[in-house]
Amino acid sequence: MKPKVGFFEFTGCAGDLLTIVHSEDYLLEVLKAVEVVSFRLASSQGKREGDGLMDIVFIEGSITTTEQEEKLKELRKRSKILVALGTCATFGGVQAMYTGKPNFSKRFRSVYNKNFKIVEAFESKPLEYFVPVDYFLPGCPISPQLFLFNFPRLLKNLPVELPTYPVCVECKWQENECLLLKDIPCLGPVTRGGCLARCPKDNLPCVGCFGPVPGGNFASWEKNLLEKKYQESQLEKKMRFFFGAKIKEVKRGK
Amino acid sequence: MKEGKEIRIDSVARVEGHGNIYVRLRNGKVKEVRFEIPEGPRLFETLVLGKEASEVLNIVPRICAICNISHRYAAIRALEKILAVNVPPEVTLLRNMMHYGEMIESHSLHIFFLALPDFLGYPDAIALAEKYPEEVGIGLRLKKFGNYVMEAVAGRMIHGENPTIGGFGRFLSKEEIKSIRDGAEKLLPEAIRTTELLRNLHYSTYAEEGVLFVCLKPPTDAYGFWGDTVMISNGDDRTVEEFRTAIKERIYPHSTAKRTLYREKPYLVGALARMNLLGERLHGAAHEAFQKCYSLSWIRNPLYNNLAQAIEIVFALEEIINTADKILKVKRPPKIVPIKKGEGKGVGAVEAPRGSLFHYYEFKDGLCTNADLIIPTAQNYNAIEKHLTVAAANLFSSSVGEEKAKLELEMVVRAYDPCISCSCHIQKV
Ligand code: SF4
Ligand code: SF4
Repeated sequence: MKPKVGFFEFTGCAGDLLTIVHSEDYLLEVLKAVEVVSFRLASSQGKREGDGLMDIVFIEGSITTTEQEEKLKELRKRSKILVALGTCATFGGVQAMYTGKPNFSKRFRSVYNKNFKIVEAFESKPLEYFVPVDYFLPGCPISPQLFLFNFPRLLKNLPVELPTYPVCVECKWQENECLLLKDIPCLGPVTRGGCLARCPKDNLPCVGCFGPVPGGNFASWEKNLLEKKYQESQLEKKMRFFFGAKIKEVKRGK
Repeated sequence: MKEGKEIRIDSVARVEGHGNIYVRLRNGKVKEVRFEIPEGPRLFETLVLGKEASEVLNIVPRICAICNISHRYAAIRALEKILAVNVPPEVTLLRNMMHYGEMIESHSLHIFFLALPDFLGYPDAIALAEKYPEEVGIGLRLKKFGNYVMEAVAGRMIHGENPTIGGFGRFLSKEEIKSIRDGAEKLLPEAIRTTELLRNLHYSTYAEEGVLFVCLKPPTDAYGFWGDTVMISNGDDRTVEEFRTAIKERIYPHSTAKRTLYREKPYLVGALARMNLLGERLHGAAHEAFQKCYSLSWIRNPLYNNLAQAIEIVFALEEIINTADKILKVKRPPKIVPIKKGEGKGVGAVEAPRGSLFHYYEFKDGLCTNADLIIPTAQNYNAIEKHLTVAAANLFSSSVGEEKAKLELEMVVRAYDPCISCSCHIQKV
């Protein structure tokens, strides 16, 4: 029997699932080997929420409502392997940039009126906050190459493999001129590689969309820039865009 | 006894994001129709507060992957207005080119993968491909080309940072422009065939009902995808600033998206609106296709949106060729123009694939202090519900049966190509 695979989405922009849809040239081959039980963005086939136990479940987006929390827990029960797809699912996404600041309800009320009751919403949180997550594929959006590399691995029961070095390494490979030397606050040294240093290649600073690199030296990155014209709050603000719910651990140097 | 009945279609498939259709019947008559959006909120307008202009630009395209380029372009247009940045014409040309790429990508995804399976009776494009490999092949090639243009110009297929305030981090080389031009030339005949394919489909008439159409008026008398004036089918012309304040935004209990009305009336934005308002301005093969396909039914039937999109693909390919020729004459790649001032307010608007998109920001001391983003699907909600209501009344008083009725209702929603991620970012009240 073919392994069952499901693709699901919570709060996000659909960019990770769309990256998969856009890789169809290569993907069609891979998909032949599996049974896709749910991919609502692409198909009305079968039950929309999938059916029964699934071998691999990919989830895009963060959790921002109690209803999503319930659905996620149910999906976890039904999946053998659960993979967080993209930075929203992994770190909470841009919508989690105020994590730890007690202003969510104020922000929420500033945009919804009192009668609004469709959802019970809270500060955006990554999947692992609610359920155990087996693997993470960060990126905003994910890298198509990393997805296509890892999908067959998952089918063979091999663990997901990601670059464990920072964006700077990929940047040096391409012999780009380093932006930090021009005092531009590039997040490359503290961000996980995988994008092939796309932004520095276009002469623009890395914005950190793959999230923090394991073992990144945030203190020294910050110290370097503090010696230039930057303030701590400015630098933390930039890190928060994509490091979201992880910001505290990152700053503590975990 | 009075008989009540409820019909729900949860998570309409093949649309981006979650949307449900709800119909309440009583004695066989339609009492209520709702299009619900239960997506989680992201509160984008609060995310940009306190950010520098370049940082705003890192954040807002993440509202939506399918039209990330349109969000980026609208934001750039607003921010450059506010910060007194004037870019040279070649920068605008290259921006238009990436925008055409997005139109091709988004429209072909919608036509071939989300809508066509309905018309031909298949659950998805993979199933469709077995019977119609040639057609699906055309769809794949068009979409791939659109993605290629977006990736080449923006740096990535989705959320590329290269288009920035004042220009491009990296301007494209002549070779890259040439290869984009070649691609467009090659695909043009296939795009023209697509309009033929769609023209010969059967369009059911259950949802027919007149609504207002709205789109941006291009600065020249050509067809195009941005402008500073809003054109309304009742004859009104408004500046984007006036229009933003004239439309009423409301929050409804059943949706996380706000919706807008113009003078208390629902209005429709998107390819169909643009064709109805600007179609006569087309040239070349796009104009030929328009003349062959257009009829008065386009004023009442939302299902023609797909055909309008197909004509826009022809237009976008022809424009890519013209634009490339102009860019190829540029001697030196332009440098990024620096930001001049730190405060002010303003609206930047572009036509996203799904319709007029407005980004409004206020800046003080170089930081964003207020934002209001009005996106196409929020503007289309009331029109979607209106067409759903008409369709439901026609369907449930006929003998088509519930399954068929449900499919027809889904087709109405899908014809609009609603972009639900987009709508759920929520504005300030
Ligand atoms: S991680 Fe980025 S690309 Fe993925 S859903 Fe979130 S905002 Fe979109
Ligand atoms: S430009 Fe950025 S990513 Fe590249 S080496 Fe410098 S700091 Fe690292």
